[in-house]
Amino acid sequence: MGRTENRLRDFHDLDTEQKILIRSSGYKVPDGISAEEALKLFREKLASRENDKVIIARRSRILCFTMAIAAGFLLLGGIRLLFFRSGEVTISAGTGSVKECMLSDGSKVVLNAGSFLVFRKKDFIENRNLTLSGEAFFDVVKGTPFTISAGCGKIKVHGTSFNIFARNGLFKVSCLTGSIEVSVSTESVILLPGESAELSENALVNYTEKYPERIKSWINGEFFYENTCLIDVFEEIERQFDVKIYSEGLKDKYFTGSFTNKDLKTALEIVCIPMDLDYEIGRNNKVFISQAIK
Amino acid sequence: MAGINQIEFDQIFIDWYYPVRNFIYYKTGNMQEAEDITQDTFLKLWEKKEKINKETAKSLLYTIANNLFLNKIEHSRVVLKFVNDYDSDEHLNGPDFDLEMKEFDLRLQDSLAQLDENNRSVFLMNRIDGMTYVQIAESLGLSVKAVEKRMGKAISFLKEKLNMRI
Repeated sequence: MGRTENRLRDFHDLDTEQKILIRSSGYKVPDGISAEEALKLFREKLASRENDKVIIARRSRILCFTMAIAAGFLLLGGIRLLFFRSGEVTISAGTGSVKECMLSDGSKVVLNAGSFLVFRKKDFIENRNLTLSGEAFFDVVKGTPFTISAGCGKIKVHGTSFNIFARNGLFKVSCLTGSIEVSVSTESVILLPGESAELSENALVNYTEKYPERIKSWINGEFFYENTCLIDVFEEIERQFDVKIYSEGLKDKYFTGSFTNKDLKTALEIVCIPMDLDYEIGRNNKVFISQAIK
Repeated sequence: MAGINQIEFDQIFIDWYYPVRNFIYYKTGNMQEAEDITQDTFLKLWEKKEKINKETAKSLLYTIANNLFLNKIEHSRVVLKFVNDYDSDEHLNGPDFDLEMKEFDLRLQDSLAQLDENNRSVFLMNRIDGMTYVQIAESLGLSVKAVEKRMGKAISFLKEKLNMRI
């Protein structure tokens, strides 16, 4: 009781200006929809407005963004958008470039260099089926099942974000948010945030990522490896810098470390020095790797 | 480099949705209208996203929102209804205190509604959203001096109104 009287007396002691400032800073506006719901609504509005226009965003290595609305054939740098008779659309990112795009359902895809994605544009919102070759990061909005065929596997999701790597028989899926179902022939696993599944000797192995923040680090141009076949690392360098690498005797070498796609010379040094290799950057985007001379 | 990408746009949306919506709410006193105008504001920003950069996006948002507000809203009498966060823990407050606060809030909100909308929005951006004068100045494209002036005008107007019947 005494406490209340004190509070009242304290308030009476204030001058009008202080009363105004104190009371008003406790005000809360009426409840509205959350920013996340508002963004969802915004995407729906945008999708219905843009209707069957396909928006593509292109990102070059120096983070320069341009937008173009596709209407037929479009050629933009190394990026092509092709329409086939069946209504299928192919979005591809050439070597040395990363590409971002928003699908008509509002889902986002970031394609890594040397990757492409095929889907049917016409009834995409009802049938969200895509085929991926290469590597991509997906941020899928909730809706009908979203299915991706990549390499030998299939990934089924509802609303979540995850990364897929499917090249040369290698297959790896990492889940960042939500949950996803990954299947290869008859085997399937459910991945939760921070988990990955990899195909190893025809079996699907799942495990928890030690560094989940690295799942999509490639979007920022950072590539992390842990005991990875050196050939695969050099192939990534080829795609990132649009170079051709000539090497020998790397078959049984494994690399642990990271490189960024800002500068070719730095990337080569980071990989070659600890592996006891020499490199030489020749003309016409050629790079030669050899054993270091002792 | 000019232009913002999808991810940056979404980030701006999430970061600035509430401040911009509140800014319009302070002007209209109607949450539904404030939400509609905020959606339209972001649509306009989306259309311009190749030409802007992250730094200018914020002040552009407020400018677009204000223009949309001026074009759309019939200037009827504004009624503001705020809930006071301070009184949410009812056990700590006695009935006398609650009653007096209720009365004070009613009169303060009535006075706020009568305030010029530019002064009101600056005042409430500072009080409710906790924005500093510098942040308000940047958002609205005003000088800090101008923000101080609006704030001063708001306070002296409210003081005058509230002192009238005491």
